[in-house]
Amino acid sequence: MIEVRGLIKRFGRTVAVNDLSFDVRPGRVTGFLGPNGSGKSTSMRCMLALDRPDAGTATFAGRRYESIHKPLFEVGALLDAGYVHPGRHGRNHLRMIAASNGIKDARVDEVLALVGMSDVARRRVGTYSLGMKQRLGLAGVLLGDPDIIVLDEPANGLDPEGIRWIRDVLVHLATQGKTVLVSSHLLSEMAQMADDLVVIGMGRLIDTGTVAEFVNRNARQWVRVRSPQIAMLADQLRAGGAQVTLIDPTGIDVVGPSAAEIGELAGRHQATLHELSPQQGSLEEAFLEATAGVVEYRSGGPVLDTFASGGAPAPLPPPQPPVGGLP
Amino acid sequence: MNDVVRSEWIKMRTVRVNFVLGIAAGAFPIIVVVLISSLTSDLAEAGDDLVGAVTGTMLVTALLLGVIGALNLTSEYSHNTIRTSFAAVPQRRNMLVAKAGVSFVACVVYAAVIELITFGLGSAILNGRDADVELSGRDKAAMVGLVALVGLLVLLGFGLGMIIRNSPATITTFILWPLLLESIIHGVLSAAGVDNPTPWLPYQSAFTMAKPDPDPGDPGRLRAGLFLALIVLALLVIGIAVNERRDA
Repeated sequence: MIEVRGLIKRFGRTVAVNDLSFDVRPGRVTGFLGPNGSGKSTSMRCMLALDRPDAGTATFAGRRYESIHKPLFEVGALLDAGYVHPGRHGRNHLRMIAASNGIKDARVDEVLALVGMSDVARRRVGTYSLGMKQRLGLAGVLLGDPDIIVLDEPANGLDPEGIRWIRDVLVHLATQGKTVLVSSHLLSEMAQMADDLVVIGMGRLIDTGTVAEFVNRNARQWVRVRSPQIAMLADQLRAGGAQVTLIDPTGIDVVGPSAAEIGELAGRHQATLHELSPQQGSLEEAFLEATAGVVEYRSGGPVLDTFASGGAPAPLPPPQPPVGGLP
Repeated sequence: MNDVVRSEWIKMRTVRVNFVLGIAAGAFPIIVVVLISSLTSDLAEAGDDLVGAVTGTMLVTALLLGVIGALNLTSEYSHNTIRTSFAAVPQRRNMLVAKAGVSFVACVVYAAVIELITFGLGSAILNGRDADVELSGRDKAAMVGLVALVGLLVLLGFGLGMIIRNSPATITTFILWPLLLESIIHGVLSAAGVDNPTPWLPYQSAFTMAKPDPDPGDPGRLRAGLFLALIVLALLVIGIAVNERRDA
């Protein structure tokens, strides 16, 4: 169990983490989401006592990180796969970490085999791809077989097979009862992997709960209807106050009434239904909706539309100033 | 603590730059002393001053080993491995003390071995050429003083590294301190009417520790060593305090 309470971290006048509180439960994968610059990495560094928070606490199974002796047995953390000396062999990188907690070299070889890095373990880390560094970092996390795992963007740089592998590993670890906190920009991966979510923006907590709850609260929900009598049904639904969008000559999307209510309406008017299916937006849509007001850096205008219409490409708009105002 | 020491020992041995600097630090006095012993025509002078040649050339060794002491910490900041290290050992003071201790012991032992090898080779060559090499009490004191100086300079580099946390800036400060800064201070103090400023300059006075025949104005070996040790201690205390408070 990870408990974060009232975490605050300032860099000069910028408040990077603002009174952040959340729990991460055992036996579940908890996704830590937020736009770029939202404070995810800073929060994780504060939790692990690498950055000194201005206020607040983070505890792992009731203990602050800095009070844990030999933390590799309790908390496995990977904040950045690039935290390696490029001139050191991969195996030696793990040996130095392992030795600091009294872990034998034999365990180093075990975890190297576990992440599929045995063959390249004696190569210098500087020759590794980002994906290989991620695997090496994950090997470091697994050294002490900890009950709590904290990972910052572990899928960064991994190929599709690697992403699926890390997803399977994390889900497997959670099924063993371990507490897993993982941040990622890959929302589709998070949707498949996470049980719970902690969503932050500009250092503040935006939402927390299960993935399903988060999507229900933040993503659009509508009902897709297909029928030979679609025009009549659309008129009846509009008359009842529903928001109706024609998607093709036999189909509409309806926002407002539930699928059951639409089915009853169709029955009353003896309309034949070819499709009546509740639809819901993705985690990505829910995330974008939830964080719409707290995006630190936003991309420019719809340049691709100009290409699609066959016109000359418009110049890129100037970058938007940060909403919060970094110094 | 033993585990942390072992980890630091692995870190020190598994970085190539330490090997390169170590080889340079060891090869320089050996090559110079072997050349001097082989080529000198004044055998009597060379025999009398062999220890002076050994400890004089090993001042370069001391500086290079001091650079290793600095790099042992600053390279962790350069590559951000300090975060990996502090995540594995959140009790930062333990890790820093272990790192300083490992750097100190490894460099001191290495310097002592190099010193003995250099002296042994030089005396073997000179004795083979019918020179008479003998070790006086002051020679022995200078050889011990050189090893102590290496230890202090390693810790000095480490202390500067803890405070500056940047490899080029730390090494520049470490090297320029004796070569430039103390020369300027020496000049300023002389201009201000101080007859013999050397005892007030920690680096320059500490070099006395390695001289078989100190100049009349030089401070004693013990005083010079204690003076530099005080500076080093202050840097270490400040460095540890700073690292405990700062973000990694």
